[in-house]
Amino acid sequence: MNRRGTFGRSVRCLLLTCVWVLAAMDGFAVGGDPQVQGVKASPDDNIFGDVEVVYQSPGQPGIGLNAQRAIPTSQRNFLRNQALRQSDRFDWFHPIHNGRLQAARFDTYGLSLPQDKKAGAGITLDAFVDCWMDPGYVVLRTRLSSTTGVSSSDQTFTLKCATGIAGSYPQDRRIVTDIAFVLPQGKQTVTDIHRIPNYSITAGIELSLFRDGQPLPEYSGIIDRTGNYTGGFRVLADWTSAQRKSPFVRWRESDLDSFEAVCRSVPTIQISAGELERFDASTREGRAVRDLVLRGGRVLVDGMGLQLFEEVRAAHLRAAIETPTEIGNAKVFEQIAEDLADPKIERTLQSLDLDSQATQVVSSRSVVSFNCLDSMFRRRVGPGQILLGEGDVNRVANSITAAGTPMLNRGVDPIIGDSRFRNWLIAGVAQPPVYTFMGLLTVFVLLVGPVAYRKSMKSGRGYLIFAIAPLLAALTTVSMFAYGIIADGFGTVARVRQITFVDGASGDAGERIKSTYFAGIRPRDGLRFDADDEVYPTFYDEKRTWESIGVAASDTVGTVRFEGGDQIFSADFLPSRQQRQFVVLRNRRQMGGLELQSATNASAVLVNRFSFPLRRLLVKDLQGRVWQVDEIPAGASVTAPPVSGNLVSKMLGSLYNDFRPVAESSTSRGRKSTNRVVRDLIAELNGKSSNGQELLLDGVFENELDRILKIEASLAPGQYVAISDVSPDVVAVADTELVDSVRYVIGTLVDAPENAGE
Amino acid sequence: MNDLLAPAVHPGTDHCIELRRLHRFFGDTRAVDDVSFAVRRGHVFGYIGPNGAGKTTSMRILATLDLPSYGDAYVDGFSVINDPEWVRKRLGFMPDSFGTYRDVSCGEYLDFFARAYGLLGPHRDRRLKEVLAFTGAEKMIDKPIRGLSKGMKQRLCLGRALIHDPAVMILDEPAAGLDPRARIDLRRMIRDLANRGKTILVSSHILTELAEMCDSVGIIEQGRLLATGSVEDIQKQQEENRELVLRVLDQTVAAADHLRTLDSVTHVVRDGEKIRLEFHGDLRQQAELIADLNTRGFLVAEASSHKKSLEDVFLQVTEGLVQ
Repeated sequence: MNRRGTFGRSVRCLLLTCVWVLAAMDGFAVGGDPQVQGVKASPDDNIFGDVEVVYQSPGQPGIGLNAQRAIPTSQRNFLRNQALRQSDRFDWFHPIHNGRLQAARFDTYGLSLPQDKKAGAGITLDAFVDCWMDPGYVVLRTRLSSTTGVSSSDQTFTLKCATGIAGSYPQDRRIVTDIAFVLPQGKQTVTDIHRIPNYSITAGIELSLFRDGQPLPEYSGIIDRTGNYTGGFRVLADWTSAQRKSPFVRWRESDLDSFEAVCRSVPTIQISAGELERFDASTREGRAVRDLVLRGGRVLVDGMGLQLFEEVRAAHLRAAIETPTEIGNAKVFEQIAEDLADPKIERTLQSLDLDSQATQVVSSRSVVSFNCLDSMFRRRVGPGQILLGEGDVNRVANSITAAGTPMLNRGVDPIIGDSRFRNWLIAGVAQPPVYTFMGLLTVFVLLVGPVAYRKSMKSGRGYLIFAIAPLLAALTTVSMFAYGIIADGFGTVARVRQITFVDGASGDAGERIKSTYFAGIRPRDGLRFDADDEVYPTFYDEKRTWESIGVAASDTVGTVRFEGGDQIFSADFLPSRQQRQFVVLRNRRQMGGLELQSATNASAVLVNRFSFPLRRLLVKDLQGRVWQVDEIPAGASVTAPPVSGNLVSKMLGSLYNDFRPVAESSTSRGRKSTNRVVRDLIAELNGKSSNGQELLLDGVFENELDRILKIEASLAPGQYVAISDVSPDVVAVADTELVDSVRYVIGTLVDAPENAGE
Repeated sequence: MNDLLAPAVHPGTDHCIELRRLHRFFGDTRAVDDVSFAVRRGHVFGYIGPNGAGKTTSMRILATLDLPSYGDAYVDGFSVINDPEWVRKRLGFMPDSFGTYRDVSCGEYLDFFARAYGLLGPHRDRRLKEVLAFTGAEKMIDKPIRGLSKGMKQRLCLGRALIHDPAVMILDEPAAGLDPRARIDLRRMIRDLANRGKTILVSSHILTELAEMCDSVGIIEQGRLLATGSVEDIQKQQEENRELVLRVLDQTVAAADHLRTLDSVTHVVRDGEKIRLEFHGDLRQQAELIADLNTRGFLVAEASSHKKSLEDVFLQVTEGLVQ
């Protein structure tokens, strides 16, 4: 009896455990308030020491020379005047996009609620959006006004916005964003700007307003192309269209919001050197341009041509003879001269495979375009690029930049999903415990066979075998099920691949974080990201095809709510026991840098001014000497020995290979699909825009990392690379265990030009 | 048979095989040293080099059997470093020495690999039939492998590499040890595969055969790619150094002495009335040389120049160095 009682208790206990686990999977949750802290902007950033009209050769530290240091005042004024003259011809800026994507994508549309002005609840809501068509973050500007004078008390509103509504493509990428805001007591109007996620080519944005949690019936509507065109800002919609006479637009002060929105939405902007010169480092325009470049975008600066360049260079050479401190600058300009007419640009032009419409435009301008190459040059800035030119820059702009779309830059495709999902999974979770199951089944066979038979026959109750066998079968099944659940635990595991490009001149950085999460129980509090982050879940389903998404039923992938400085993705984005992946793009401000304090041929003194340690550090100074350090703690200074020749390339290669993003063999799928066509949007865009010359399958961050560490396996002068610990603030779920994670830190030395003379 | 034609699997590139700055070091030995080339879809690329030149190492990297020290190789647009699984699905690799199971039949052998590649049911049966038909091995389906000739084993190995319908094939010395008829058959099959859209990288020591079946070739020595391009292009590049044979009547010695004084002529060897020499110049300059000899009173009765074969080019480009 005792044994039977124990057995019964065990079964009950096991069953209760299973019930608890099942309930927990559905409703219970783990996790508290994660301490996610975004790095906030500092107002005194020094961008235009960087994105300056002065070009700096590839490999020189910083985005560019600091104009105040690099150019004498007289030359600076000369530059400014020249550039301003150029800007008479070319207006302020020009967002450039893949020519294939047309329609009024950069228009601003709006909606006023209530639409029936006689109805309403004493308030009006005006909402405007820019660039809302494509997958990405939509900038939503809202203005809530009380029609009855100032508010007598704090009123709490929630604006519910849904992208991916009916008519969108695909329709199963609907995402709902809740934005909470308060109309404070004593105020009549509150305005705000939000960036809300959109994972489809959306047909519009559905808005509905709630007050104190209650829906306001008259306050719902859709912003779409039929909405009010505000006319305040209109950027080129289709630059290949013959109907458009000028691709340029006039900038107005009131369009700052739109400018920021465009800088977040396009891969390239064209800007006249004169206007760039007028920027101040701390302005929103300045930050927007810098953020664009550090996120992998391109800035095409018009008004800095060969003639002007040569004049400035000559001035520097003269100055170098008279003033020793000018020697460094003169060297830089000499280097620039060698970089003129970069052959890569010519190859890019030749390899373009544009669609017929764009081809006509390019071919009709091809002579002009190629003539322009003498006065156009570029340099890489972290994952981004700056292109400088003069005169006919706008004509070649199409060709130079046609390869870029925001989706290619980001390297994540939320529409159909992409197979790169598999290249960064967590090994060993959510896999069937085959051997454990085999053990359990063996025990079952033994128990139900020889043991049960012998026991029951010995006790003269052979008929009991008919009860024991199904009971043991049920018990074994339940045990296997329970084990399958418990084996991976109930916590959250993440694998993070963080790539940080740091600009040494400003200390700012651009980051791409690819993270895969696995939760035993889905986190009740969802996933918490910084409000400024661009977050893209990687949707991957092998059965998903272009045909299937065309007929996909409307479905909501999840909800996002903005709260304080965070955007919180609901737990729907991370179901229990499934690997889910997110790609996050982030800009960081003034995060420090690496300083080369002094160097001789035998050693170099390096100072880590980051708040995190650097490991396996390789640094190349301006003389081309490479220094290597195994580890340099945060804030510490170390003396580094030199490393030379082949060894540098080998070390860089192994730095990549040791953490290469590769699919685990156990994740192999598609038994019948050994040659199945890979048809994701990124691959399609690559095929059409770059003709395969430069595949941006994983976006510009991965591509640049790949180029530096794997393909070229060499550092540019003034550049360094290291690995480090993943930042805690990029982990979206509290108490997450990190496995097989890596952070690459690539940057340019702080104040390296001053070190050049060592 | 049309199923052998691989679909356009990756829209991102026209180059089905691409090596970018490929390096592979074994200690201090540079087995592959900065090798870059690309092969277009449907082309046959001949990989030529002496033993120890780095051919097999490059091929092993392409087949995801080894990792480069740095640089990368792409098969149908997929990186061998980052996407080895995709590469394996698109690649058929026929190594120079292949393992066969002596006691299994040809049908079982191919069936085993078909299953390993995940082919199922009727699809697998159809592929088996297609591959057997293509390689001409239908009659041997039940024969044990131990009884096969070298040529038939090569066919079987080719069938194994083809079984999963890859877009790219890498054949390491496929013609080694084959008799002339088997070589011709193999050559025909390789060309046939290329015509069906397969991209093929083939290494061989039998250079005359490569010249006939390859759209382009790469010559590698000591890990470095010395020349690459179509056979004609490489021959043209080397044509400026041509061997010239002149038959000069009566004054052969004087003519030879005169030729030795010319900058454009080297390696002058007199052989009776014939003078063999190496001439550095194009055809027009060659004609001018002969005219000049006639003007000087040398009776040039015959003149023949030897167009360099791929073997000549190979010998000229390489230095016979091994590591």
